[in-house]
Amino acid sequence: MRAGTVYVWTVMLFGLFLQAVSTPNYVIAAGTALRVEPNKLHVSESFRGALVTISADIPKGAGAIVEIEGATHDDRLLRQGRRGGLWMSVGEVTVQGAPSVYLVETTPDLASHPDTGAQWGYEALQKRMAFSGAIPEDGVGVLFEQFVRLKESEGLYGLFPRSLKPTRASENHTTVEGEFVLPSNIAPGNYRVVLSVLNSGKLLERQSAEFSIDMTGLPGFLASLAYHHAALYGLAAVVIAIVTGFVMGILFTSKGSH
Amino acid sequence: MSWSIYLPIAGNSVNVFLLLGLGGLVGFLSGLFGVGGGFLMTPLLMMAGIPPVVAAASDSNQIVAASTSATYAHYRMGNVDFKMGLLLLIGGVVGGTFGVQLIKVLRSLGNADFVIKITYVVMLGVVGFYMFLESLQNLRKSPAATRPVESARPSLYARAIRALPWQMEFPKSGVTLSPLLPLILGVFVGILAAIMGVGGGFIMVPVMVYMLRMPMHVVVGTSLFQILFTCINVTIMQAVTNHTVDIILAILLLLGSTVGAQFGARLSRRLKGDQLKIILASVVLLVMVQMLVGLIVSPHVMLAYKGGH
Repeated sequence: MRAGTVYVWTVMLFGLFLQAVSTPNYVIAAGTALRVEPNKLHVSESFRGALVTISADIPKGAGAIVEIEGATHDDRLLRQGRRGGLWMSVGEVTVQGAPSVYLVETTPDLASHPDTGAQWGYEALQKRMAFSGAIPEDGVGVLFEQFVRLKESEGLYGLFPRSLKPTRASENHTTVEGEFVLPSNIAPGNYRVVLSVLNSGKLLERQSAEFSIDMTGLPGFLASLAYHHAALYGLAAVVIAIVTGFVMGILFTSKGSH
Repeated sequence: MSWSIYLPIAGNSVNVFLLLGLGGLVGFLSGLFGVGGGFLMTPLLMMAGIPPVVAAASDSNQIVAASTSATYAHYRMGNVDFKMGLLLLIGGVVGGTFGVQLIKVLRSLGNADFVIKITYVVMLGVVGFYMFLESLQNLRKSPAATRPVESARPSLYARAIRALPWQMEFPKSGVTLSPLLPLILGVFVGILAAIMGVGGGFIMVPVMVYMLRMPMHVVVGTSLFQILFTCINVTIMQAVTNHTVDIILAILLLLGSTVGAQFGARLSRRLKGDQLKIILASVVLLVMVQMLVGLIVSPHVMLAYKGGH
């Protein structure tokens, strides 16, 4: 390989690296700007879930879809079925490619658009997921429905049409804004916010931003201890329990003796 | 002001008073009957939004505190037979180890959950009904009628246990038995506890009463002593292998349960043995009915997370 070619490749890779490490929490493109507030959330003792506000300036007359997605991972679940007339677990199902969180909001005009369902929302999500293990006779579709129902019951999945509301309008742009309620059982990690701008069902532009959730304070300290010093953590849990049990026992005995 | 607290291992936020109340209720039952209460606490925690695996592991941790508190209270009252408890504990550990292997084989055959659920319902039903009827009959009888008849011929079971070798006195329980009997019964309860995924207190108590012929008050204290060691082992194992013990959850539960256990132990002193048995039988039957309903009624979601009792 010639020295010139190596130089060009090095500059290109370095440029790509710089772009990757310096991704801001909002991106401004030709006619659209995406903003995420706050872009950092801290889980402390008093964490009870959080509100994330997404706003974007989109071209006048366009519609928008905002998706919040958590990292994908494998979910191992038990499928319930009937055996001898009784309901019980009939096998294990592994769900691959499912995001930990999937929340979608759309502008009012897109709520009933026929094309959006195939590209965004649950229908599109199902295409990215794979099921293995105890698949029921009625197929994967039923399993996916049940999976979504389970996640919705935990507040981790949800579709909210018409929740992105226009708040301001200028000559060329409309500002849309939506609030996402993140439940208290949301896992720490990085979350991707994807904004898709559409006109008559056609994708005009797509942008993404990120926000992160980390555990701080006492919960952060205890989680780190539990995962990195598990034996010490287990021993501490037992000692605390025994000491509390004894103290309570002695307290009550001395109270009872008076 | 919100009274919720974030639980780092459960990964969820739960009301503090709800956890204190649940701990208090289950601790009360623990002190009253000598059961760990895992068969009640884990489903209640799952209803409060705690993942099943974290609920089961953290419950074991809080049982350590409740059983320490209640064992101490019963020890002060002279209700703990350490010799008998140790033999049952050794048998329980052997049986539990065997039971874990058995459940692995059943899982590989694909019918483990059917066996677990059926064992649960049958065991709860048989134990509950037997205890309930027997205690009811005793309560209805006059004190004179309940006095043992000296001349009556011993039952086949009584003759069989007397025929076992190495007869040993257990002064605290007031019985003379071969140590083989508590060891074998411990193994049996250990197997059942491993299959059902519970501490086994509600099986151990009737076994002590009916098979080992121990007085009810000593049964409660001795059962708690045995549960204490079982749960210490489970807590450390769960923390090391699965990282599922939530210390904040356990502390809140144990603050409630240690207080509840003291009130339970005090009430148990005031009640007669048969009164205790009839209340425990009612709780066991209630749990059995709740499980049966869960087996018959279609679940809301056909998928569930793994873990729990």
